[in-house]
Amino acid sequence: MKLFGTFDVRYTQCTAIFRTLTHKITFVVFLLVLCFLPLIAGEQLLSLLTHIAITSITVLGLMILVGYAGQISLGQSAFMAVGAYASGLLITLCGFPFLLALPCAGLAGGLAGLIFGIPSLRLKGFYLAMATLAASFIIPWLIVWVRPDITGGVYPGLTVPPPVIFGFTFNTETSMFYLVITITLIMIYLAKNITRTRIGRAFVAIRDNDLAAEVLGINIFKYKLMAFFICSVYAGISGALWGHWQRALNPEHFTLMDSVWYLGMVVVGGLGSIMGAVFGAAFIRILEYFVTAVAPILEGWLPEGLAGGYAIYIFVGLGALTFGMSMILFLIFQPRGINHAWRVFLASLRLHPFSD
Amino acid sequence: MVFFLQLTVTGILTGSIYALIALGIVIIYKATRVFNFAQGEVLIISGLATTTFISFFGIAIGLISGLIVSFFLGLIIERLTLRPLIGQPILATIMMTLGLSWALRGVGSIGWQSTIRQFPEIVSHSQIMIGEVGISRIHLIAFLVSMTVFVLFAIFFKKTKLGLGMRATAENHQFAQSTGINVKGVFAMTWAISCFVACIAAILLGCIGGGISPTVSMIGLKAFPAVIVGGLESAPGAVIGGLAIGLLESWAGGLIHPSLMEVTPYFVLLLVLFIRPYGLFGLVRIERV
Amino acid sequence: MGKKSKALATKSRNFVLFLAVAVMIILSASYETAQAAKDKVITIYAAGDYSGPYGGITTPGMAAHRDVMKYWKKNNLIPGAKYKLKWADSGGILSRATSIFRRFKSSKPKPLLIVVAQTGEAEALRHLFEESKIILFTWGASAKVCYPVGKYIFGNMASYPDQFGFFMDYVSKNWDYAKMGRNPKVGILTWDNGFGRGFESDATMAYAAKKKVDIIKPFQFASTAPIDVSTQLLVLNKAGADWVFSSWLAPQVATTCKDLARLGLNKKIKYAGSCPTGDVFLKRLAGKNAEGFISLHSFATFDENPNALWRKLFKENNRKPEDMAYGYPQMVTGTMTILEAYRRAIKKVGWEGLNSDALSEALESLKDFDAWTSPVTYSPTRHSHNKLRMVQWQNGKLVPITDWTEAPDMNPK
Repeated sequence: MKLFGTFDVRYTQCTAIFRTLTHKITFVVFLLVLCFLPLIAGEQLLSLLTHIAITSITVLGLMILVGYAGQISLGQSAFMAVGAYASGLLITLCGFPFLLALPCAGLAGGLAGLIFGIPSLRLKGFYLAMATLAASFIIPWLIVWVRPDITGGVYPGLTVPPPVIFGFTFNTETSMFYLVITITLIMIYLAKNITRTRIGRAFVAIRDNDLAAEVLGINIFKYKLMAFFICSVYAGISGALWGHWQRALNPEHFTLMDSVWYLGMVVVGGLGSIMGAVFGAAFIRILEYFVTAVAPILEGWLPEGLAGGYAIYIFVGLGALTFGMSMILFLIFQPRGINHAWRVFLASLRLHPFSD
Repeated sequence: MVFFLQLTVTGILTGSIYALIALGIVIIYKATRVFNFAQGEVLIISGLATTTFISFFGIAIGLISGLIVSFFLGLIIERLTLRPLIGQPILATIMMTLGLSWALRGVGSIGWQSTIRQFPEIVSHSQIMIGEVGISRIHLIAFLVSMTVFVLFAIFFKKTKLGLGMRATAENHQFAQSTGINVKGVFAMTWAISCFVACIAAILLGCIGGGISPTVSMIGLKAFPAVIVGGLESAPGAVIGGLAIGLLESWAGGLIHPSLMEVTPYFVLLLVLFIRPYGLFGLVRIERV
Repeated sequence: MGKKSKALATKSRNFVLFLAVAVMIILSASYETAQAAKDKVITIYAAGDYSGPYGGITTPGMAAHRDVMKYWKKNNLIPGAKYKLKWADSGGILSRATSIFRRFKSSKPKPLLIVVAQTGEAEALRHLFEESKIILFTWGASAKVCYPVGKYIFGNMASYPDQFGFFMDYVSKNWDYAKMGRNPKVGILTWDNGFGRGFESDATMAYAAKKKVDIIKPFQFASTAPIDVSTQLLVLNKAGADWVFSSWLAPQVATTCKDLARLGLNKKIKYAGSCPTGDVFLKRLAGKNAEGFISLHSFATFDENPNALWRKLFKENNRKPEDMAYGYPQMVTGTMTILEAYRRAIKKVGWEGLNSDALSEALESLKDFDAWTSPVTYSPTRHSHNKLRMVQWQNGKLVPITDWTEAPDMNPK
């Protein structure tokens, strides 16, 4: 949806990230808000935002893979595990600085993704999902059993130091917030650029019709692997940040169900849109936060003894039920994702009172 | 040798239960292209419902009413959650089953306090000796029940009108609709049948474990590799897949290293996918430029 | 007309969606500040998996928190104090657990103590607890949670390594070395996760060697909900196991007991498990097959002394038979310990000076404190119970076979 009076004269304008002055101003205001947020917001909000940002990075990668290239991966959290362990081990064992370890973690995640992406040449749809599903069992197994003396295995696990950049240690919620948000913004920018250049257009061609794309001269194998690589690089970086945020790792951090939820965030956000990834991550994380916080409050409102000894079970169940029902209702009423709803909403605002 | 035979028997008998759970997933995928991540939770809810009925009406009526209720549970799930998503991307339906799994978990917690519910001891826990190999009676019965279910389903898909309708729907929704098949009805029936099968699996698990506990939902995860090794679209594949996974688990754990027990099926899965990308019995879709 | 109303519906639907999201954000952000601090309120924070796989034993623990707090309030044991329980359900998902911890951590007033139900969650969060100087009061005292002893880390049971050490004592004491001419062999059959391997540390393995008990390597593992463990049992039998030791929950114990009986190994191999296995649910699940199973236990069970005070509380508060899980007595002790520590800390430093350091010192000062279901002793060098006992399944009941005994300290020096 374009604003009235904005015309795309050149192709570069059509694909520009900021098309109008309003866009630019909104972005600057947004940045300023992020910069000064820690001054007013409590640690709770900051840690929630940090959590959302870390999740966004991994969902961004998945969005490129699923939403743009049309492939599917159920191994995202396993690739996060690779990144997290890579970064943690490089810093503790090899003494790498954080700024070097982070890209290395991305690279390690990317390589793991590449290996499990190789079947994508021959596999489609759910079979591909299952090849990557194998990753989310095999990689944790490798971490626990191959060299437990290095990775710490299940016991005692791996302790990761907080990130240090030029002598400054990021060990508080506020500093972590700034670090994570900065990296997230960079990653969003990179993702946006990937999708609006040659690579991204090749991905979209493969997604829409891989046979036609091949006829057009796109090397399908190369681009599919590239999609897996990019997706897993994002996972690796996100995993590394997660490790540095939690500072203690074991393979239980990275389960299959997490991967499935990341896929869910892609759907909730809206397939094929970079902002959708952020929206999806934010929606699910806020919903989780809300559900875990509100069920106990509701229980507190209920007069004691009304439900006999069952009150606890009912409210524990209500939390889970609310979470599930929100997902179900959301998908029924907005199956095309938040990004779509957001655009429709913006358009109707602009066209008011002529929008129907 | 006795040890090896014993491992084999154990593997096959356990595998039959994985196969039964996998069958529930395959039935749904075959007709509606939905991969049900909530199968573990369906298992729990139907099992818990059955325990309640048993405590009220006794074993025989309790089991039957449990099966009937889970049949209707399937109808309700389909009508409320998946019917509105017809025509939406497959990923949305995956998400839906995830939401469903949380909702069912909540229902379990509200309705049954997420505790362990006792199952009556229908079959005694003894074993039949064949030579020096012991076969657990209860596992053997579970195996026979599963196999009976598979045979019945094979007949159902081959002979009955509804079964044929399901196969036609699995082939192509639009073509099926144009030949006069009630596709929506078929979808509803698929879910109902799948939940029915899940209830059978839950009853068997209850008999083996002595009760239904919340950890049972984790068995749902075991069915995934079974489904894939066999091929998503093939019911016989699910049987072979389930048995193969059971055997592999038992062999890898018993003969090589215990830690391999959980992960071997996935190594095999990768291998199968490299050699036969559509699973052992999956439908090969031929594409030409 | 129809088209228009449909479009209108879409628009209002979107509006409702955004409104809902906005309300959620505002509510989530303002939730903690809405509950401002009042004087003389003791808040117990509890986080754990209440709706997921472990829900069956953790949720009764929450009932115990409430019942004991109600008792303290009724008898005014801390003068003028009000009691509050804040819980949150992680559903067994670690990332949720961490976000719950971060929410609790930064709520106002700052919590002094958080009860964490899962071993895995406690292991993952230990560092953050120590950094933010909040006491981690854990249900599952694994080696990774308990050691090295941290000022803010307390286990509400004898730690799993200590339990294992106690078990080693028992095994070597009941073994006739002269007659058998060899060391007893203990096979391990457990979960491959933090809880299942919570007893595993260099110190426990060294202690086993010192006690002349052979541990069969490699450990055997089973999936979260095993259908059949006869493969593992056969392997252990082949390796000559005299004992099998597990660290998991009652349903898995039931499966193992049944398979042992079925394979005819229950005469040859004795079976024992760590603390959470001593659950009266075993009766429902395994029936006769559980006979002879030994559980290391840190708490009183539902099979003894129905007139005890905590059993009366259980009845008074209309708790249902479903609540008779192992989690209830554990958290009776837990809540008693916490509140007693509060009482001592308040007596010493008053309400104003109350902080986690004072609370930690108060906890360390507990010496054989009668927490109704367990005697509780902490010391600066030992932040888990020092005493435990063994219960055995006899004639469908959990019967104590040892008295409360001090367990060997498995703290790695």
